[in-house]
Amino acid sequence: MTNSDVQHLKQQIQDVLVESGKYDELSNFLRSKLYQVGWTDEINRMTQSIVTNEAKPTFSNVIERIEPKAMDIVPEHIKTEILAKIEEFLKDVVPKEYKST
Amino acid sequence: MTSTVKKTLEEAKFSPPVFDSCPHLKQILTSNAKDTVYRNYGLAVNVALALKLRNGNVPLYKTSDGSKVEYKKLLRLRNKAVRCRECLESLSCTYFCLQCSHVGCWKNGHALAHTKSTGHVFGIDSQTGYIYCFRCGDYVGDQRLELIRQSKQGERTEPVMDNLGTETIIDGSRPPSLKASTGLRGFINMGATCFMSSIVQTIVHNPFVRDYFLSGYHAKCPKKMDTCITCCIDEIFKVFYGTDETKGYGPTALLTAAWRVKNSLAGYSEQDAHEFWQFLLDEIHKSDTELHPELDDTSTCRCITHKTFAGQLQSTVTCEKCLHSKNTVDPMLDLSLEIAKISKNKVTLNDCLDLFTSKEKLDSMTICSHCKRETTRTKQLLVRKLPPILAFQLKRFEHSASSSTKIETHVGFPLFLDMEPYTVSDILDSNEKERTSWGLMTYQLFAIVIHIGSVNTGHYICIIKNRDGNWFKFDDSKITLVSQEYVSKSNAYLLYYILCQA
Repeated sequence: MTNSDVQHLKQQIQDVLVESGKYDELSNFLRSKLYQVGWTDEINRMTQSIVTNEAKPTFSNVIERIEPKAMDIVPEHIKTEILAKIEEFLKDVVPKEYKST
Repeated sequence: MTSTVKKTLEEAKFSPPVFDSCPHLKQILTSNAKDTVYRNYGLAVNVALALKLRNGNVPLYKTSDGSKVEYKKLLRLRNKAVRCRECLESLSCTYFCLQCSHVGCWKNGHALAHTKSTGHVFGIDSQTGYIYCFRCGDYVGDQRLELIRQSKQGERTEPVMDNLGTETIIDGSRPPSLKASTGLRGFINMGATCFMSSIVQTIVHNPFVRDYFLSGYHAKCPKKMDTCITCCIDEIFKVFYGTDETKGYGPTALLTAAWRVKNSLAGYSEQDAHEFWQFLLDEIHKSDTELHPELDDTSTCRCITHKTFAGQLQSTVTCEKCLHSKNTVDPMLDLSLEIAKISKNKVTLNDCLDLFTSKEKLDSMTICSHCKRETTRTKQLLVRKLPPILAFQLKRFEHSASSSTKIETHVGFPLFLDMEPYTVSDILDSNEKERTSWGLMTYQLFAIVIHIGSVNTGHYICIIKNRDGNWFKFDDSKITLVSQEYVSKSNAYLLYYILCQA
């Protein structure tokens, strides 16, 4: 596959994902899980502490400091679960000729 | 003494921008480009907020011939519009340029690159409609732009206006301090009034009810505190969120008004907190619909009580012979749960909910209206519509003719509750199906009321999670910070959960 093929495929997947409503479903699932394990709460606390301890907090420097940590503390089992759901979705939509590559 | 601040009626209906302005935004809004900016902003916000829920409903769009635009079609159109012009990314955050038709993404830096090559420094967040200044690295705002945003979203506050159409503000007023804005203040116990204080605390810290009162929706009430319970609550909001005072507040006005309105509350006997909660919500419903009759003109009341707490419960009765079932839907303000009696040593709220929603065999034999045979039936309760705030009562008090007893069993409760297993899954109405698949069904615990002691003599306290995620215990006028472990060990009587935002 050429680079532009990959780009094209990516865009098609993205369109089906959003337009079928599957994206909302997956993102709601992920949000629920992150709430349930207390991840959202923890990110809230981390953000609060940065904002209160900094003289002039801006969105860009808060996100710079939060993002790597936030990604780090997502529990492994949630990552596995959401990946499985994405894979299942891809199996249905990606045409066969791409699968071997 | 009051003085007037010059604001047009249109301006006064909307709250000030969430973010401060910046020199760059000020500059462009005083330049020749300002008209293009306002127009572009309106268009961009239309797309950004196109599918956001309005009053909990999916917005309805119609084509010029009056037919409904399918939700899937809306998803497709929006997806195209928010796509990054360079890499076609549309899933993560993208920004519409405030000055031209460019759309760029955050993830691959195309929005920032556009800023650098053109000098257009503002991006409109395609998910929220807020403006990001790439020079400042921060979100910024402006009164007139915010007005455009809010009018698209349908967010409104009730302005306090005089006859001339100007907003009235007390002379020398200032925004409340950070300390006051937390609303953390206790109540003095006026003689067995802790049932009242605990409930009022859960109301004071309920974000929906708080926004209602602080937006001035009750300000126009012609009644006074001596006859209007809601006026007393309005006053508590004013005092709690408007002043730095931390000494306990004496709820004298509320107590006298409550005695006057409901005689059974009079005297110093101990009252049930749950009964008071129901009474209070009913009073707020009454005064809201008196002030705004248009809220109660349809089958579902849109007053603050019902908008916040009302859900629907569906009861399904099934014939055991032909399996034909019949549904009835009833309104609910909270769920009263029996405490499950199970052999394992730890009972949880989920056990109580399992019990509540389990199929129950009805004793009597009847003739089935469908198969016409004499049969037994089963009945099952499930939640059909989830409210923004879900309230639970654990039935700890058992009253029989001869005696009253209290069940002291510790019922474990989750800090985050997934309600999906307890809701109706096969809602036939396609409109509602869209709605439920949209939002989350996860709730976050934000308040519990605890009864300590026996049936006849006891004390109420409550624990509330504030906006920073800290837990505070309110024991009359005393407030203490407590740990999450402390919360989980508590013997809850009433629990209040708030729906997590999608």
